[in-house]
Amino acid sequence: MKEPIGAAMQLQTWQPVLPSHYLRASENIVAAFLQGQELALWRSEAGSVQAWENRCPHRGTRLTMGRILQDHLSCAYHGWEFDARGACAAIPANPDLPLPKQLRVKAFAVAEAAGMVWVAAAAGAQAAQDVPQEGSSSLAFFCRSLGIRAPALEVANELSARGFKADADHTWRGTLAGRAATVLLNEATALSTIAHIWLGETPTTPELSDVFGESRLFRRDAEARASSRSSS
Amino acid sequence: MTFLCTDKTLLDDWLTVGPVTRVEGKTVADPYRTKLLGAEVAVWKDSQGQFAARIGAEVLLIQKCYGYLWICPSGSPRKDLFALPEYSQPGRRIVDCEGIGVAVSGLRMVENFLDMGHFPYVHAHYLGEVPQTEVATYDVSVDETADEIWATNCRFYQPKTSKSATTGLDVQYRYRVVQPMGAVLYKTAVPRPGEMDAIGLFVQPHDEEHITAYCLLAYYDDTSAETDLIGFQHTIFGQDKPILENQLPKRMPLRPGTEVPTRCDAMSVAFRRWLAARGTTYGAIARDGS
Repeated sequence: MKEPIGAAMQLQTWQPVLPSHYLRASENIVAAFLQGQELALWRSEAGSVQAWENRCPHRGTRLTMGRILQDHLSCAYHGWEFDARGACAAIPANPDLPLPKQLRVKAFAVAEAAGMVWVAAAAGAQAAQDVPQEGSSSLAFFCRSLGIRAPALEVANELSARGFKADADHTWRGTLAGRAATVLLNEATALSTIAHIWLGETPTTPELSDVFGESRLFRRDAEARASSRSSS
Repeated sequence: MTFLCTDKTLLDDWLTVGPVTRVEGKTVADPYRTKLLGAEVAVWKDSQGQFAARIGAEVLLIQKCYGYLWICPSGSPRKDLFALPEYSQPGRRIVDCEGIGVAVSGLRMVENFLDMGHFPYVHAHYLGEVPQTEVATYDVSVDETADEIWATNCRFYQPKTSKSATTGLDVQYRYRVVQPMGAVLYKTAVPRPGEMDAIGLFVQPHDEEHITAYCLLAYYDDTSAETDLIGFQHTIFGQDKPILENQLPKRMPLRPGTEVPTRCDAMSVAFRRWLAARGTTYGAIARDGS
């Protein structure tokens, strides 16, 4: 089936969902969110990041409940294993049966750039064309990911009101408590946004405390925008 | 006030509102209040010692059986409550383990109860242990007369099958679905290897995604302390709870292919097929997606 070009482009928008350094090779599984889609992220031994629908195809269990065993993600419910290509690699309850060849998790396209893991909303999208290029001296120190109960548009409006400038897709630059900051916006759902906050330099502890304080005010004001919009 | 349920198969069934102990001492003026199928029901014991229940001003059909209270929401039960002869069989010890609240569809809870494949993962060191993960082929049959499903000739290696087990055992199992919200399992009785203990799972659906799972034992065990037997069951149910609360979608999909089974899921497949055939939709996503 042919999709309208506009819709296809929109679906292929890449979004920053997690700081890259959160994923350690063949070790942990982290939940992330993309336009209402729950994701399970992990990094293979070879270093490539996997972004999967957070749901085992067997009985729907969240894959983030599982663990990484020898470069496979093992589901917490029945121990079904999936390899770094998303294919089913073991069904422990029926070890002698051939594995169903078609059985795989739903995987999303992933890229790593500017200190972040970027995921495309369309499953199986092509390699990243429009992910921001590396070379971000402004990303020296990862501050925090801030969950905000407001649509991404309102969060962007609040950043703009605070003097931030849109630099690239989902990327805003400005200052927080006087420190150079880059904020990457991740549209978690239609009504909630995750703001990933980086600083240009490693702060001292009191400076970091000030940035945290300022980022809480930023969150408060963004949520106030959303609630005044929805109540008017 | 009315039940928030259009599923005739559940409205005409007998659904538990818990063990009688919850209603002891409760009166019409101060009844036991609990949620069933999305509505609050009031349950009490009248001056003649009879149990009674109401939804709003409307009187409900209620009966006491197996130490539990059962309500037929529509007042027109399609059949008698399922038989549990083990409850009154001489030599068996009856232990009520009460309930545990779980944010899950009642159908997914029952399916979990029928499943051996999760033992080595969810109940490691109790009901199973890696690498002994294989589920041997077993038999599934539908009892058309009783409208029940059976899984027979099941067996599984268990490091600690019950409170009284001191060593690993190859345990025989039989499973029986007695209603969409209830099942009974039979497993090798450790102190009497020729006999089988019975464990009943009775699910009270508060709504489509929240339940209380009650557990009743009919055991051959004269030595274990009651609190230990209850504690063991609560340990097992407590291990299942976080898994059950993290299944997506919350309601159980009945359309084949939405979730992919394997050979050891024969009982689960039969359960889902049976639900679809009899038209049970409460706590499910029906085959047409509704």
